[in-house]
Order: sequence, then C-alpha cells, then structure tokens
Amino acid sequence: MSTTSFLQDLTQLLGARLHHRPEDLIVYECDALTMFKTVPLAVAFPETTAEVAAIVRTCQRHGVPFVPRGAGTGLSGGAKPVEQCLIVEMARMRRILHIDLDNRFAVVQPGLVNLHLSQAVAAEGYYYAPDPSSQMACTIGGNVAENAGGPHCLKHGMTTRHILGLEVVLPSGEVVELGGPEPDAPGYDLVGLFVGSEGTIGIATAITVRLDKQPESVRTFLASYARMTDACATVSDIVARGLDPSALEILDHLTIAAVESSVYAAGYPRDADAVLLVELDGLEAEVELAAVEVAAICRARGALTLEEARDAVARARLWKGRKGAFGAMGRIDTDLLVMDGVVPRHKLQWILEQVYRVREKYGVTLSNVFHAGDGNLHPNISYDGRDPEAARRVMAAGEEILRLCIECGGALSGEHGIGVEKRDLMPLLFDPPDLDLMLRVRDLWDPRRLCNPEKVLPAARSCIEARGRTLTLDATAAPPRRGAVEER
Amino acid sequence: MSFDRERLAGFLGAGAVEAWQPPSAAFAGFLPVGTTVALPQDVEQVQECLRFAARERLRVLPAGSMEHLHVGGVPGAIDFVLSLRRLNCVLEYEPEDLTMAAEAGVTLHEIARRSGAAGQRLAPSPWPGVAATLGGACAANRSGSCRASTGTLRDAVLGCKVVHADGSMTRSGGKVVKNVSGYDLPKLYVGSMGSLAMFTEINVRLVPCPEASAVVQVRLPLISARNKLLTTHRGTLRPAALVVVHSPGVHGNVQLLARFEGRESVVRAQAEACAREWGGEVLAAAADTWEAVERHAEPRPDAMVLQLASLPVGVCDLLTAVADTCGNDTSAVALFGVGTCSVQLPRAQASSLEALQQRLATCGGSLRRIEDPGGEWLAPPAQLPALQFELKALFDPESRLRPALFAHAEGES
Repeated sequence: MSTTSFLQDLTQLLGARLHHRPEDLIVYECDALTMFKTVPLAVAFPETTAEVAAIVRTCQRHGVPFVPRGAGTGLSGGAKPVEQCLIVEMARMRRILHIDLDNRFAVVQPGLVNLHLSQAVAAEGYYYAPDPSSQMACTIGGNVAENAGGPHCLKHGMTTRHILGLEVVLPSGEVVELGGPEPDAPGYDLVGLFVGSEGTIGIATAITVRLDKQPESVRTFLASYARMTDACATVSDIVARGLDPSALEILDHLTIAAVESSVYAAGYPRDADAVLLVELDGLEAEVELAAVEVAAICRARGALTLEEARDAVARARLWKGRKGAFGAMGRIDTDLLVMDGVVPRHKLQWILEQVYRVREKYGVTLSNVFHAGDGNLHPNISYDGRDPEAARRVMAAGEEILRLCIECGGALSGEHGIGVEKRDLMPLLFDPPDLDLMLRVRDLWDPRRLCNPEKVLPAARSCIEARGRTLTLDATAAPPRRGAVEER
Repeated sequence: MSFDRERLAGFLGAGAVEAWQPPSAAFAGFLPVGTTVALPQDVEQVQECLRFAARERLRVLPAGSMEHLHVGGVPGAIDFVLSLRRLNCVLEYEPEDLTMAAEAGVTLHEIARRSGAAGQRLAPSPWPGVAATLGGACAANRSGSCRASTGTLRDAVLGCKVVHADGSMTRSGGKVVKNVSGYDLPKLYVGSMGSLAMFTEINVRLVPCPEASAVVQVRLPLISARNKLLTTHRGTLRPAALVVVHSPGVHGNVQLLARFEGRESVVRAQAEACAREWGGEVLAAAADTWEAVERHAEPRPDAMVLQLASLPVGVCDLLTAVADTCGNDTSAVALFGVGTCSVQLPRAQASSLEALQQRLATCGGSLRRIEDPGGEWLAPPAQLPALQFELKALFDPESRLRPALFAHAEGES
C-alpha cells in the first residue's frame, strides 16, 4: 500500500472531510474502552451511501483496513482503530429519512443519536425503545453494530428486536438492501445476522427501525436496602410474580456514593447498601395493579425506604443517577473498566458474592451497577491506568469475573459487545468449531478481513484452538500500555 | 435417487425407520408416499444419519413432526426425511429465569404444559396441531395471530445447538436472556426450514401467561374496516391482535376481531371499550373462533395456501386485491399492524394467481410464498441477493439439506 496515493484518492473523494493530521487523529485512538489505543491513519467523514461505498472500494483497492465508528461510546473497543487503518466516521450521516407513524417505523441514517429519534416522534406519542445509558450521545448505527441494550430492554427487547431493515455497504463496496418494514422478507434473516456483528461484515448506511407507542402510564420506584441480598430477592420476587416490569436496576453502596457526590446526584440514600430502581409501563389500570404488588414486595423484602417518582421531573431525577453512574465513577479514579457479564437470573446473588470476593482477592476498587432483571452485571473497576501493576490486577480480576459468569451458565457480554476487550476470551464460551463457523461466516462477507479487523473473533483457527487450550488466568502477564500505540 | 432404507435401520434400529404416509389428504403431494423417515433417538444418531447422507450423497429433509411440512412449499427432491421428534426431552427449566432449554423434538404442547404449570408460556401462541415440535416451529419461524404483540419465535430463541450437513455440531447464542457474545447465528437458523443446519437443542425465553383474554367481534363491509382498524390502532386501546377475516361466500363483508390479553379487570374494560368503539360484541366463547384464525394457514385438500405481505396497516388493500381477483370462494385472514395475510385459494381458482400478483404490485403488497404441492411459481419474487446463496453454500456446500428452498429466487445477481 502506498499511504500517499491512498490519502490522495480519498482526498479527491472527500476533500476537507478527510482528516489525517496527527492532531486531528488523537481523539479517534480509542472509543470508551480507553485501555487499548491505536492512532488511525486517517478519518473519513462520508455524507452519503455512495461516498461510504466509494471509501470502502478505495480501501479495498489499496488493501487498507477500515473501522466504522459512530459516537465512540462503545465499551468493548469495537471502534478501536487497528494499525494503519481508516476510521469511517458516520457522524455526518445523521438525518431521519422517513417517518411512518401508522406503520410504526422510521428510516434513519446511522449517525443519528439514539435519543434524537425518540425526541423527533415524542409529540406524536411514539418512541424508539432501545435506550442504552449513553443514549444522549450514542448513535443508532453503533447500536445496530453492537446490538445495544439498555435498562428497558428487559421488557422491550434488545436492538435486534427493533431493526426491520438495513441498507448496508458490504466490505466489497457493494450496496445491498436487507429486510424492510414489510414482514417476512424472503431468504435468510441477514438483518438478524448483521445486528450485533460489531461492524465486521459491513457498514449500515440506512436503518429501518420499529417505533412504539409511548406507554399510557409509567411508574418509577426507588427502594433502598440495608443488604444487597434483599435487593436481589426483591428482583426475584417481582419476576416470579409475572409483573413484567420495564426495568429493574440495582446500584451498590460504592456506586451510590459516587453518584451522590457527582453532578448526577439523584437523592439516593447514602447509607443504603443497595438501591433498586423499578419501572413499570403499560396501560394505566394494569400498571396501577402491578405497582401495588411491587410496593408490597419491596416492603416484604425489608426495604428501608420506598420512594415513588410523582412526576416526570422526579422520574428523570431517579434515572439521572443510574444513567450517569459510569460518568460518576470518574470521581473514584482516572480510569474505569466497565464489565458486562451475564448470568442466569437465579445466579444473581451467587455471582455478586463472587464478584465481591474477587474484589478482595485482587485489592481493586470495584462497584456494581447492573440490570438485575436480566442478570446483566456491570462490575466497574476504577483504577489509575498510569500504574502498570494496577492495570494488571484490573485485567486479572475482570477475567476471573467473566470466567465465573460463564461457569454458571452465563455469557461474556450482555450488551457491550466483544470488541477487542473480550475477543481473546471467546474460547472460554465457545468451542473451536463454533468460533470457526463464525469466522467462516465473516470471511464470506469480508474475505480480505479489512472490515473492522481484529474484533469479536480470534483471528485464525490455530489461534482459536491454542487459546481454547491454554487460556489461563495470568496475573503476571504484561499489562496493556496506556496512551501508547497498542497492538502492533 | 433411491437407496436401501435398511441401511438406515442398520444403525438406527428397526423401529426407527418409517415410510411416510400423508397424515391427511391436505398433505398429499408434498412428498412422495412411502418416502423414508429416519427417527434418530439422540444427537449422536442425528450426526450419524447426516454423515451417512454425506457419504452416500443423499438429500435430506430436516423435520420434526412434519406439521409444518407445507411451510416453505414443496421440499423438492429428497431421499429421506430426518425427523427429530424422538429427541423430546426438556433439558433445563428455570421458572425464575423465564428460560427453557429443550431438545428440538419436544412438542410445543409439552412446552406449554410444563411452562403453564409455572404460569409461563412461549410468547408466540402455540401451534394448534397436536404434535408440532419446537425445532420444526423454530425452523419455520412460527408466530401466531398475536404476532403484533408477541413477535415470532425469532424473538424467543436465545441460543441453540445444531448439527450440520457433514454431521458436525456447533453451538451459538446462549441460555441467558441478554447476550451479545459472538455472531447471532440462531437468527439465520430460525426461519431457514432446516436448509442450513438442523436444530438439536434450543434455548428459549418464556413470558408470564396473561391472567385473562377476551375477543371482540364485529362484521362490516371491507371498505369500512380500514378506518375502524386505524382508529383503534392509533388510539389508547392495546389489543394483542387485530385480525381481519374474509370468509368464503360472504359478499363484501369481513369480520374484525380484536384480542385483548392481560389482567382480568383490564382486559374486560379494554374489550368493552373496543366493542363500543366498533359497535361490536365481546364474544362470550371465543376459543373456537380464535382457533379457526390460528389454523387458517393449515393446508387443505381443495385449496392452496398463499402468504401475502404488505406494510403493517396495508392489509385491507391485500384483502381488497384478493376479493377482486380471486373470486368469492376464497378465504383470507390478515393481521392488521403486522402486514401478513394468509389466503386459502380454491384450486379451481388457481388461474387467478397471475391477476392477484399483478394487482398486489399496484397496492404495495407482495406474494411471499405459495404453500401447495402444486404451487409452481408463476413469477419468482424479487431475486435474492447472491449473499443468500453463498450463505447456503457455506453451511451446506453439497446442498443436501432441503435443497430446493429459495431455489426459485436464485438469479444472476
């Protein structure tokens, strides 16, 4: 590859919408997983599908890897650059192309911020259900790539349930239409395959999403507990009673302290060991009945306090602490590793005990904020990334927690994706033939492996097998170097 | 190609090989009478059957109880049916997790029985047939008439194990309700009619059973139905299903049905409000009416089943197109808010298919499938992208598993 001719070709295509000066590239060296960094060769800002296709074809011609990127809020390094790659930044493709409320769908460009779609249809009584905590910043294209979740996917489903169709620029540069607003598109469910493929099999350039009617009624409760086990038991009871809450979120003591000392302060009781946020939505009469039962369960499980949001302002306040929890962790230390393991719901209490044991074992600062209703943990480890020893311990603690999740029937990631962060742990969850099949599916779409390479799947069959045999906890392994160009 | 059935019996056991007989006249013609049906009793035997097929270059029709045999149309030339109906164990059921892991041959009724005892169910309504298996229903992406609120089995499958055409086995997805670890390969298998690989084990999400249900009915001219349905669709009622039924021999009139599910008092209030809004009635006994709706897409000896699609609220246009082109003996059931419509077109009216297709093209509808032994495609639907066929070739390079699926749509692209 000649870097000069590659950049010349792209400049001819994009003009000033190609950035390649070193000072313009620093911000793209990582996404919200700051542990791994690589400065890209350049960043392209396409505005049309045709431009994306032309960029991809140019990359193919020059053999340059390309990494699609939305807002860079991903927590698993899915948008982390690889060496000498082009970042395809979708931020300028952020228009809503079409809204059809009767048929309950919208067609949007991938760079549209998640929350902006709900805001655009709110006055008509509709919304877009998937609501990752970063929804004020993250893009729908990124959500599609990661199959993003959010607190309310407990009831309303992950992103994949809300994506009806896609226009995709394939790694070859060809543009294809997959699915659409009409049901039962002929052929295999390529939309289902694409969602959650972490940008490794193409770049979505237009997305047809399902819109839902806003619920008639929403009720939000905050219960505080002297013991985390009581909060977990409350969750079990609510689920077992079939109350179908739209969100069940728990924050532990350390998280409460961080939130309450930050700009995200929500009025959570500082003396509680855990707080539980319960939200119910649906028909007013139905929610009213469920609310009575939820309140009774919270009290029966020994809630210290039980507060209900009386209006939208109070509801927003209660959610502010939950949605700002990751940001509030910045008060604890300079760096944060947000983990994303999943366990069967009935193992929730067990895994929390294990997580706190791991915290003691490695001497790390670990707080928990998690989607209790679907068993999706977010142990957050705060650390000073400038301290190699600290980073080493964080990595080892994180891996041990994920191993425990898998041991009890869970998974590596509930909503953040595998990315680079957990790629090499995939053999813990899948056998070599399982990973080999995924790799062959990937190679079908992207035989040269130029489209977001080095993500999700260990690179080669030999590597998969070797990892499967030899992956062990190794607290003495060299830590990733922070701030430097990684993964050369 | 014919082969010696005894060779299968040799490793499966004598009682594990049958000759297919159509369970009813409606199924006659989907397969040649006497087609060999292999009935392995465990995963190893499934693998052995597929390795045998690979060695002998035989084509296989993956199946469960074969109650969904008609879905996807005639399977084409195959050498034997591989039915997993004897792999029928529920492997794990954790009511607290609202999840179940089951072998592919477990019947939907067994799942309903087991989960129902804990007040739970699979969200898509169970197939009314007695023997339909989980594997078959997932392969056909079964939904049910409450699809607008429950989704299809696509949305319920969390993970699976499959056996491939070469007899190897892989796993994808998981058992937990939230999981983005690796490619979502189960999405490819669901709805693939077994043409990529065979489910042997499936993990599904369950939901709480509603406390009560009620069905509201009104009969009115088709021309008025659309506005009535749109008003309800836009309003404050939350039906689990809005169905339009066009019955044979009824001139111009259709039956609208709204189903409500949930808490008893809420369902009652919603149904009564809907009945007032429609000028209709809450059915005192709705089970038979609803079962007829659920069974509408089943094959009949004297009619061919067509599956149409449109935008979610465009189904009245589909029904108008059917009424105008297919004659008065045609029956149809459409799901408003979903965009699907199944049609029972009398064989005597088969010549109206071409006119129907032309008419559909003018109203934004499309003919998705013809589920009939004689259902030749008059004109193939939109050609599928080459990726679809490359995917088939990746999973099943020698095209052994349900080889004819989508073959009609293979174009030059």
